[in-house]
Amino acid sequence: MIDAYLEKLSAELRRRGIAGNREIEEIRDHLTDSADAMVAQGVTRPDAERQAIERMGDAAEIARQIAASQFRLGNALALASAVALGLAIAYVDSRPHWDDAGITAFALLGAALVIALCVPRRPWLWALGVGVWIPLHTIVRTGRPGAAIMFVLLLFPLAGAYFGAYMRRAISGRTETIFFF
Amino acid sequence: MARADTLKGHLDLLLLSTLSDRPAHGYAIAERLRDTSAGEFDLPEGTLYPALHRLERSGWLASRWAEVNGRRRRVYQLTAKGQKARAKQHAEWSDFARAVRAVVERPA
Repeated sequence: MIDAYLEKLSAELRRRGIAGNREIEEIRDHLTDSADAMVAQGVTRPDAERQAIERMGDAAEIARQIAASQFRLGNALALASAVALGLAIAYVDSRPHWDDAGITAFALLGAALVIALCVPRRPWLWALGVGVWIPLHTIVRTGRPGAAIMFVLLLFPLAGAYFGAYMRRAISGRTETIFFF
Repeated sequence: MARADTLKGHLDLLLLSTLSDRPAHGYAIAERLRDTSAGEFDLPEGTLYPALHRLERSGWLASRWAEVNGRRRRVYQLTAKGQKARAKQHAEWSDFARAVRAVVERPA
């Protein structure tokens, strides 16, 4: 019974892109201790395991809480990476000798794709982090509001980020709606 | 049993306080919480682990694998940073509780 519960918890964690080996091991120890304590008080083994699992709580909810606590750090790293890559691409694009818009667009798409593949939550945020710098630089440099048309460049990192997030979902076998916000 | 959402708001302080006198593994922490509160804090035990790991990432707890009663267990202990955090949260909670009591128990 405990093994079945842990398998369910493990599957819920994997669906969220988390290996969770340490969590599974700790919860296995906890359930074993809990069931053993009840058996020592005269409860039958099946009843003790069932009660221990009930006390532990719903596996999907535990996996959700573990994922929520871990993704805070993942989100910060992903956003920092997106901004760093976006600034680097914008710097290269701003050089006087640089005149290859195709490579710039491909770099924006690729950078957002890789980040969303690693951290598939909020792909729109990774796209903004990567792609907002070239349009902003153009507006500041030219001083013309019309340069805002450059924000159309965001379509490339947006396409990359959402494609990356869908790829990750396909790889990890997710079935529910992807977490866009 | 205390409402789970009410308990959640105080979970950090409860966990830090439970570990303030000696280290413990997850099951022992859940037992201490339940026993010390006379069964009032009987929260879903699985919610302990995300909270413990979060407190560990904050540097308030440290953990290690250790042999407990012949079994290998992940044991948590309060760090110096955690002790300061506990003292601060305890003081804030005491002020809050005093203020709530003053309002709800004022003579009619």
